Amino acid sequence: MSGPPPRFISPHAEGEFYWTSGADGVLRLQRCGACGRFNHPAGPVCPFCHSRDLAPAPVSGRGTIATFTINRKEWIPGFEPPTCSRSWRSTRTRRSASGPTSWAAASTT
Amino acid sequence: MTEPLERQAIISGAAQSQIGRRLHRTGLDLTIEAALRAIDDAGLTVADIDGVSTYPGMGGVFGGATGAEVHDAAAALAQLARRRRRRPAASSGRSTRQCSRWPPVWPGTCWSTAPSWRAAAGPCGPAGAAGAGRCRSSFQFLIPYGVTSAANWISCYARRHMHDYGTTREQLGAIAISARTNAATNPQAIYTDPMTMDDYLTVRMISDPFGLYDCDVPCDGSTAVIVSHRDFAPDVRHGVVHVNAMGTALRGRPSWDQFDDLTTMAMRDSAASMWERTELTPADVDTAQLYDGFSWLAMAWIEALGFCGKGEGGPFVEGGARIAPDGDLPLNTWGGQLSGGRLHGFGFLHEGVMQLRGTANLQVPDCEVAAVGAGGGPESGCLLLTKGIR
Repeated sequence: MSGPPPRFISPHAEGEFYWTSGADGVLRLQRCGACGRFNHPAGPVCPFCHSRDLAPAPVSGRGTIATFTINRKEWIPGFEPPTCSRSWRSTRTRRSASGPTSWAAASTT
Repeated sequence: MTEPLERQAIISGAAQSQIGRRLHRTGLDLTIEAALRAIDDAGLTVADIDGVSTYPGMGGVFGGATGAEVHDAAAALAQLARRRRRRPAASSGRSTRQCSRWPPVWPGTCWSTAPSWRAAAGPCGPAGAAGAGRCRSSFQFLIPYGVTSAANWISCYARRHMHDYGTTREQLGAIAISARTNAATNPQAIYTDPMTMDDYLTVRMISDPFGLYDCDVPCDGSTAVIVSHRDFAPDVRHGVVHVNAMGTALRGRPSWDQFDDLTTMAMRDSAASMWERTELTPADVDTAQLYDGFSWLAMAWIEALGFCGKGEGGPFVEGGARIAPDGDLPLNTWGGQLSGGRLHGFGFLHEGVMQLRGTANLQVPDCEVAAVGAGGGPESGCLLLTKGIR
């Protein structure tokens, strides 16, 4: 998969760290300093306890696939099918079965 | 139980515009056509209308939808009336488009419409948000992973449902085939040719496990309903349809991909809240008209509304007998959006009204209670309708 062009993403202020974290090889998700829960996508307030004490926290990158789809249609240029998109839950963030999910994509060819 | 507010409401009129593919008519044109027909159906005139609600409403156009702007619709209405007794109240309905905007206009009368949907090819959904080369908001966490369409998002729920409960493609196919069979009786339906299970299973895949026939068919068209106070019921010249209860709750995170349970959606909460507002039970329902923008959504609605247990939707619909017009739960008797056409939720409401009036194309005998549900993902609303005032 060729992936999206560089101009594709216009991160909002809270989410930019997510995209730049990969530069040092570490995946980061937003974590609440008050209740300790992870929140993704990152936002300006913790959706669980409404604290604004939020900061990026490193996660291992290991996780469990929650579900997936194999896409066969080209919806937008840069994603020639088939593509496989998986929703996964990070091992570290999985405080319960309903913890936040993140996406991953891979070519199936 | 305190009487819920919505029980003051009746649906005094309902009608649809021309429905078809590539009609080359504007959303506003179709909306006004449907509205005028519905006003006439109710035995009213434009001057009797006190308010207007449309979907998508304000902001009108997004990702493949070309609905009527609510203010445009209200302005057209006022011009048609030639004179304005009062300024029509205008509001946009969205996630709970069949329900949430009604109370402000009671005890008067309003009409409410669904949009027409552009049938022309092109990126739909949030892919449209990437049209300028960038994606923002929460879509920035979906689109770069190729998760660009509602077909992708919802297929992931269907896949998880299969994983947890053993649901099969053939069971989803029973919903699609049943819809196709029913659509043959609907002169406005888009797909009417008979479909076999082999047709269903061998058509091209869109986003696994969804093939083409798991996806609803875009069309141009509009639906309008007239909502009146029940005090006006004696003036209605046809059978009165009464709103027994509505459900609009969303108790999980309002997200397509961060919901707490990946085998159901917000319909879980709206259905629960609807049953909290009525003495009726799922066993009282004579027909269900449930959103099938994708086949699995209808199954999820069946479970959410309690017609079977959680995770039992697959066996419930398997073979199609139970959801056939002569089955225990006649489902989407107009063909649903899968074959009737994507009227974005309002086609189900229209059919529910026709069934309770006894004037549906494929009439369920002795139909007295209809459950209508619309929406997928974080968008959800449902209604329990009865024949006559209860």
